[in-house]
Amino acid sequence: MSYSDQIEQYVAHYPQTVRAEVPAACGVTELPSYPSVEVVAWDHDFCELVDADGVEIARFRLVG
Amino acid sequence: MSLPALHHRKLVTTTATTNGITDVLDAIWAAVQPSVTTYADGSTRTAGSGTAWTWTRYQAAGVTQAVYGTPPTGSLAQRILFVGATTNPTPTPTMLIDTWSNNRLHIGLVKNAGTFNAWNAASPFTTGQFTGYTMIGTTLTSPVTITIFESEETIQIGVGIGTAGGVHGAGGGAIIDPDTNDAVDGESDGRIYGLWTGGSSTFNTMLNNAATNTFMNHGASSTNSHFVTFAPGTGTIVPTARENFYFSITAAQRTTRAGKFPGTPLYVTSTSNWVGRVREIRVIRPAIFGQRLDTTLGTIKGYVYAQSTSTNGDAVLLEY
Repeated sequence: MSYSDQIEQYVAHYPQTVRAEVPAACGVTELPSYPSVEVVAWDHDFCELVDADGVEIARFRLVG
Repeated sequence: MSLPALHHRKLVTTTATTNGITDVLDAIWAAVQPSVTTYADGSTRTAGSGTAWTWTRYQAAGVTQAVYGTPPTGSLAQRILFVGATTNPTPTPTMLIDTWSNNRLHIGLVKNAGTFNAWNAASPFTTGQFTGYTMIGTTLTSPVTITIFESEETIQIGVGIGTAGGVHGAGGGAIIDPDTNDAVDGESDGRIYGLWTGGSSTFNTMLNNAATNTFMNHGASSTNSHFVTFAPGTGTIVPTARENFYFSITAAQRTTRAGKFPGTPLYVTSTSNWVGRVREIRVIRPAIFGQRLDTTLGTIKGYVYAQSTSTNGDAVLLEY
């Protein structure tokens, strides 16, 4: 499962997501199934999903 | 060159007072706390030496949220955490494939750990590399029983949930020996560190070639079994899986003419590389979870880790 597929799996579980912060090294810049979700690269080794109020709603590690 | 052999010891099975996650974590604590000075076979257990890990319980306002273990040996400062909560923790715990579920039991692995920070912090031990948490088993229903096996560098847990006899399993630590002489195949200490779970349900033909609730196999969906290892020298998490599938073998197929039970090593691979041999865990004949197998009466060969507490089925032996 690709990195973007993994991220999308979480976004599907948390539909209130408006922004996904992802490790820069993973190379994901957009989520094809969720074009309205902003993808931002950061220097952490985990991903974080954020809702419209800026509240962090999920954190996860990518596998692969 | 092979790593030192591990020796598995079984802790006495504990039963949670209720099916609440707090009581389940307390049942884990009851099994492993430093005041537990004997193993199930009566041998001495001293926290921090031999095979005995040193466990710590984390409570918030008297409510247990985490129990984490430090091994008696090893140079890579690994920690294994069992965690759970009744309400959404803040911050949200960092997960591995699964999504966080309140009132469920989860497991995580850290290497190169620093000082304990917070179990739900992005880095629970301030520094180091963290797998994230993954789920062990289904919704907790009574009775919930906890059986833990310690070795010098690994932990395996079997959780009985309800009365059906199915086992929900997980484990981790320095579980893989690359069995090569090439330094790049392992961490600086020659080991591969990994974490596995049977996933969100009981084992389903435990040694099957599938990711649907099997032993040391990996699937990408949240309900699947998961098995990951750290790429040596990095925090990169690699999907890992058994190379060998011995599912539904019969007792006859696994008994010699002399009446002995052969044990076959398990090898694991990732999609990109050979990973290595599972340390001192072997496939054996169908058996029942928790059984002790003696070479001759009183000489322990190992403990059975299997898919059921009530009927013979797919099984491995945790070597004593």
